[in-house]
Amino acid sequence: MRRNSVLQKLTRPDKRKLLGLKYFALAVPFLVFVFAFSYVPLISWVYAFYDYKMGMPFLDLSKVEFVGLNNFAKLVREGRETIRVLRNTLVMSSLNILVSPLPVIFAILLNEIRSGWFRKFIQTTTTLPHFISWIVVYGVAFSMFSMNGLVNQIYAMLNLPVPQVSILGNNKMAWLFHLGLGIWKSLGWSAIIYIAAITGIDTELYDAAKIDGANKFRLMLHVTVPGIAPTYIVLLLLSISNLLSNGFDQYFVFYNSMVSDKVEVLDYYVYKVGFLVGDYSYSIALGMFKTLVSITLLFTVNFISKKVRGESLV
Amino acid sequence: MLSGGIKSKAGEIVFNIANHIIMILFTLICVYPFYYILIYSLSDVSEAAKGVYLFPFDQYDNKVRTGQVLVSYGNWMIADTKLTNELAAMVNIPGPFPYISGVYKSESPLGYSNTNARAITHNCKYPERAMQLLNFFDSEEGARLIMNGIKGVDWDVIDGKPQLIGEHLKAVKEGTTSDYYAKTQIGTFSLYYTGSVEPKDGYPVDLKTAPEIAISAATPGFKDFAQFYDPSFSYPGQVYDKFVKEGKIKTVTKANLASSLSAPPGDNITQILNKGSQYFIANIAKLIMAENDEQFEAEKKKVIADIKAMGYEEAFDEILRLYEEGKETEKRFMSAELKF
Repeated sequence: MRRNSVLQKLTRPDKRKLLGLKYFALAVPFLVFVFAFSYVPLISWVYAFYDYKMGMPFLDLSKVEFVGLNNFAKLVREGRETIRVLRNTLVMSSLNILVSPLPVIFAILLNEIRSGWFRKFIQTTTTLPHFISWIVVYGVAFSMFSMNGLVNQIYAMLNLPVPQVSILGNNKMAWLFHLGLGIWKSLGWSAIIYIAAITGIDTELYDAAKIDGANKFRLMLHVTVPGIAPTYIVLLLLSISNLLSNGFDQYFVFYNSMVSDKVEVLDYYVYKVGFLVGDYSYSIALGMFKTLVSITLLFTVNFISKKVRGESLV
Repeated sequence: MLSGGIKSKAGEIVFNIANHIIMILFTLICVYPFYYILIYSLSDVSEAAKGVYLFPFDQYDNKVRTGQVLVSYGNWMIADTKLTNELAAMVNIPGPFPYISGVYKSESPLGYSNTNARAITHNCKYPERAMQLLNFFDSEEGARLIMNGIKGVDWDVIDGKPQLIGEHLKAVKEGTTSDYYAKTQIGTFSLYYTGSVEPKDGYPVDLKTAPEIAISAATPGFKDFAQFYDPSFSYPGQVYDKFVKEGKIKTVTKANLASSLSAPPGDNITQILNKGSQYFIANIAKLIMAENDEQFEAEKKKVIADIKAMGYEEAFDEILRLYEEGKETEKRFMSAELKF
């Protein structure tokens, strides 16, 4: 007996150590993934300070001219382009932030549906658009909105004047159209996290409010909304730190001459400068600029969150 | 208290109904595009077009006829007689720009024409024989062989006129030459022919392009077009020839070696050119869609100023300089000073 307990005492810390190792082993693939895809590519940041041309030997800087901060000065020198691209980026991001309460509203409304199978059906179908790539969304949008697309067919069928310019090439509508596409693609998906948050609210709170005479709207306003507000605020703050990244694919596939000056966001511009114009160094400088601004925003937002809410995000 | 309860009950019912409607609508918006793609891809194109009113075709045709459409696709091999009548023909003469290349025999200095350069490699075992073969391809006999096939089988001289015969003629008339050529390898070596042979019989090397074939293939529309210019004409090529002889259109017969021998511009210049073309792609629509002349002029000025600011003049000068260099290289090339 005695011997056994001694053995137990001896092995316990080892066991814990072993368990820790096991957990670490589970995390290793993900660490490698993040390291390989998010940190290793940062090596090429060095090219922002050199006059690098594509096709030159990789990381052999002896033959490449050092240009210092010239590429960052270009941001100012080409100020008009930079401002135009930043305007598009900020407009798209701000519009997306403006409509960020939509998934919350959707989740609350969905939660009010009593029939279980119906709720599940809606939830499944509305997340569908999230799982298809932007290029497929483009294919769908093209068959809907192009000159002989479904929308124009309906116009013609109702004997209404068919618009001269399809919505895909409508410069004035471009921002709203892309906002709409974004909502369509992400609303159901973004609502999932709020649905989960609503499920997490203590049902006793509802019961108590009901006893106090609260009707459905009061329950929503005073129990559900405060219940999911923290989740919303965290996501909102994170989206503010992503102000400069609207993603690339959406604007890449929908890019055309008619709307180019409205949909050319920073991510697309980096691609254009790097691969279409061939100014590789400047595109890296642009990417660096974006990353630095994003990190600054994230920590500012984090600091504000710490001061105001008493808890930090990262 | 009680009435308040009933009110809120009624309110809840209204809310529930509205809520269900909103949800169903949004679900439809999410699902319908996929459904539409599905039914569209499953149904035949013409059936799908019938199902829903696709495009105001009659308006489009009207616009084509009244010249309101700036660019339209033309198919002059088969005139669309449904759209027009049998006299319809789309003939690209004199074309948007008054010069046409490639029909008349062009120069090929040192065997270097606008298409392919021929060379015998340094490690060739029998260079004399290779040269003999190249010379054969550039002789009347060799050129006729690689372009038309075997004399007596694919073509022959009948009554002093060289012409296609047998299956080759049938294939040309039926438009099935690609099958026939895949079988017989006619035309496989056409790249070795420089285009410099002028047969003594006055017929083209490639007998497909002989006037007789052109006459027999001319549709009523083509004939009508040709006879508009000269009642004795029977196919559009004669009109083209007439224009060339009258000096109304130019045809490029001079090999421009300098452009082929110019060095490609450096990275900086390429960057300027790429930037310019990207800018052009992004802004051309503004010019086309300008609402009035003032707006167009303003946009035009802006585009010109922007493109100049990118250093386009510098790029232009550089390309001119490279072209001048190419001319110098051409001189050395022609004086055979250039040794490989």
